[in-house]
Amino acid sequence: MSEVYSLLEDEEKTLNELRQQNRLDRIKSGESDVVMTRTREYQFIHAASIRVGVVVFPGTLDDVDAARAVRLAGARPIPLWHNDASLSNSDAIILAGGFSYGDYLRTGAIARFAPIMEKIIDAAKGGMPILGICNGFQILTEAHLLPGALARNDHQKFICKEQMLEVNNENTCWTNDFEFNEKIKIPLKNGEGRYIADKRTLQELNEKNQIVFRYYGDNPNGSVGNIAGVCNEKGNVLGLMPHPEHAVEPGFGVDDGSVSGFRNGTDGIRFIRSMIADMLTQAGVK
Amino acid sequence: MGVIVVEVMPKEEILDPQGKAIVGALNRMGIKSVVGARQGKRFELTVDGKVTLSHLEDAKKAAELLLSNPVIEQVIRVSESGREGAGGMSENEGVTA
Repeated sequence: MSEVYSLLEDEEKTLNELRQQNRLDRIKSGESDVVMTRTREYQFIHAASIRVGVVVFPGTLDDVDAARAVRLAGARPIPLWHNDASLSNSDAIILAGGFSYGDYLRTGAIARFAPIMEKIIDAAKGGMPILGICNGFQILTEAHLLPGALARNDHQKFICKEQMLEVNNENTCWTNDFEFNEKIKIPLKNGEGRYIADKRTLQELNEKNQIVFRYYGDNPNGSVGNIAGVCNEKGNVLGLMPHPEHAVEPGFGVDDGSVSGFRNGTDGIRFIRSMIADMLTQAGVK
Repeated sequence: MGVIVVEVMPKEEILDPQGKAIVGALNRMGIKSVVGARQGKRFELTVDGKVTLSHLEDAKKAAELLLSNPVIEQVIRVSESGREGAGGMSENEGVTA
């Protein structure tokens, strides 16, 4: 009897492996069985096969929170190391916050030349969703994937607070869950978060709708035009100074104002949900 | 061993909060004649043997690609140590944003 069971188990295992492969193929190929994927449950299955690489450089701090945000949103976090030669079949990439290489030379300047960045730059140009948070944003500007630069806060102090943002572009793959002009709140913590770009670049950013988030209520670090986050022309690469990954779970997010002190603000998870929704749409999952 | 000096300064139009803090400290310690300060970076790159033109080319490349960020900084000197303004590529020569 036990032999029969183990045979059945083997068969089930093979079936599961096949199913997994089919899911990946489907997401990759953009084809899907529409009848099978109508329900929300099936969406979860597809979401779980979306691989989101979270890159760790020496000195990266927020990779675990970023990976947790990916898991809570329903996708699969894949740990990536700065020295890796491949992106391990990632479908999207998050460059997490921290102080890569101790912020030596300039923030993000050394990380930009890490081996994995070559692959990320290629992937970004190929349209893969890339999210750079805080130090990740700094790395993306140093890598010239995003325009402008981040300089020391005008008041010279490190900031750590809950920050209101205004959504200025809800059409990117990382922000489609938001409404235009919506006010959201996520944590902000940085020493060098003052966004700078020359006049011509700012004009281009405005014209091409690349300013995705502006600080709302106050300008915490002297950023030009209250800019908190920008995307590339295609919209697949987004960098922002505030930290969505720290506001993803009720009870452990930011104060949402409804019941003070309960920290139920989870606007951060909507970044990841946006990307998942976008990818499912692209894969033809309804 | 030759040494090439690369100097990088924040662009004129960019606010330099470190410089501002330095002026504040100088004034507080009694040096009131200083009304402005800007803080930059100096790199000393050591090469094998005497400094050649090709070494200087490499240093210029390093200055543009890694040692400075053209959005906020300006390379103001790439030249052999001790030979300021002579023989090397000093000032803004050949350095573009």
